[in-house]
Amino acid sequence: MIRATGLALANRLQPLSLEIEPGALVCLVGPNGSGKTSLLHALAGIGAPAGRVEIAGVEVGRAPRAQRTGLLSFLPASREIHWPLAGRDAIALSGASVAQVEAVIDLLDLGTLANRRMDRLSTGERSRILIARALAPEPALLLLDEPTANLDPLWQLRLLDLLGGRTALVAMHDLDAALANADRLIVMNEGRVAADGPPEEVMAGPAIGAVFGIERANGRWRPLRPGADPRSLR
Amino acid sequence: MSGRAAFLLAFLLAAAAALSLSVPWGDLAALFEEDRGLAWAVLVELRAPRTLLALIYGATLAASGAAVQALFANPLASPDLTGTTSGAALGAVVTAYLIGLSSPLALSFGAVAGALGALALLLALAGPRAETGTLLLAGLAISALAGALTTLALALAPSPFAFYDAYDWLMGSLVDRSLAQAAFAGVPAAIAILLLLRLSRPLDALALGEEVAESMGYRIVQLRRQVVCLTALGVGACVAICGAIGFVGLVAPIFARRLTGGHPGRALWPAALIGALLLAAADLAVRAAPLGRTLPIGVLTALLGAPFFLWLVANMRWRMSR
Repeated sequence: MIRATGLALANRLQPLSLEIEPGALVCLVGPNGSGKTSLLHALAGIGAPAGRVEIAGVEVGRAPRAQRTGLLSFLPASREIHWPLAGRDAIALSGASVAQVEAVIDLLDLGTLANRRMDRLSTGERSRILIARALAPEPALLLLDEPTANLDPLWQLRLLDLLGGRTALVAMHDLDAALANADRLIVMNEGRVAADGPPEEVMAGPAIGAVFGIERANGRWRPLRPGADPRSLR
Repeated sequence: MSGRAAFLLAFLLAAAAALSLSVPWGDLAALFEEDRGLAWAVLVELRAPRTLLALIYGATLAASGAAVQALFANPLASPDLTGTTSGAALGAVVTAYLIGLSSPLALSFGAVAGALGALALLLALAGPRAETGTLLLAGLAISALAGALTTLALALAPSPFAFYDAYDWLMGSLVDRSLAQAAFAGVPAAIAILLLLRLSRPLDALALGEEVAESMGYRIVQLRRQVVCLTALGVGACVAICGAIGFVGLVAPIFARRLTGGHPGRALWPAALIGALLLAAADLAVRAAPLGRTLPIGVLTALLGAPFFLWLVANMRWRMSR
């Protein structure tokens, strides 16, 4: 079980508590600036968050670094890399074993890409290397900030498929993909959880309309009131 | 880094050190025939400090350069381009000429304080993850300010010979230092280098970005503080004794990263070896130059380093415009 209590991050994330079942793929949606990344940061211990995070009975903040590698890993939204590392070396920096690195290279079909310098790859290719970096140590909790961004359609599908069965909290903007793949959906708004539950229930509830200012009609998403600032609708 | 590269570096370093001690050999050999005791004294008290200072100063500049580059995620950061050396020089000049304390210990304290001030100002101006442009401009501004203040301090100095006195030192010089002076620079610098080498792993993790390194359990604020303090300690101690020497801290880490597959943290210790080698070689070249008088070593490193820096900038621009 993953248990976070009293989690807060400066003025970007209001104090909240959260439990995640092992094996659950939890999708995190919300408008820009709603606190998705802040929640991921707080869980990953980035930016001196308040509160405590416990994974399988171990308090993450007190775990030694070697143990922490197996507890959680975080994929930031930025796909930049500042040094001309080879893909394989970047993956190995995660602290994963050699066998784990090779396994994840196979898993994500990175055979040739892994030998090339990261600064010479396309953004999407770099994304796959960095996703591999996050997956490599087989952590108990994956915290992924928009992992599908920059990926081609096939790789978006393959990635979401790969995440099934792993415990992951995934921030994303594609509501349909979230609905199709998530075991649980969390809607964030203004640094708070606006809705949390099975994806179908959350999608059917009032939160999506209230938070995003959009609705689903005839199988398509459209603004509730064309031209209006969705935030003024509440 | 491969074993072969490490062996080659160690061999070159030993050769440079041996040459530095024995060249010019003729007079020393003659002296060994005449008066063994005197010859040993020349070797230990005149030549050894120079060799030691070249090695330790080169290693300090290079290790600091590699650490600062890894910290700022920028291959153009280095102690001289970021104003650290000029800050240290200012601190030493103020201590010696305005406060009037010229013991090596006081000079070291002044230089370390100056270097710390310059680095703190740089962090405040350019921010922790500086764009190349911001970093270089902030470094330029700090260097210019420190340079102007150094000149002002010399102009206000009570001693009318201050300028003449300080000239050789400001240009960077390893000549005529005593063993005691070498120890005053060498001991703090060696401590700084050893402690910097312990930061290799967190600095490598930083290659994945600050957020990822923090999520892996590295404390970034603490890491930043450690790099800044250790760089100031090492560079400050060396500048206090030998003056400002440029470009070694920029060039050595760039070569070192070629040996470590681009890993910025792992490049620290090969950088230290390469830096020591570069400065020892530069010192040999200065001695061998047929100019009649000894060229300040800082002039030579700048003459070689500045074109290399220009080439780097041109290369970067070319890559960005592609």
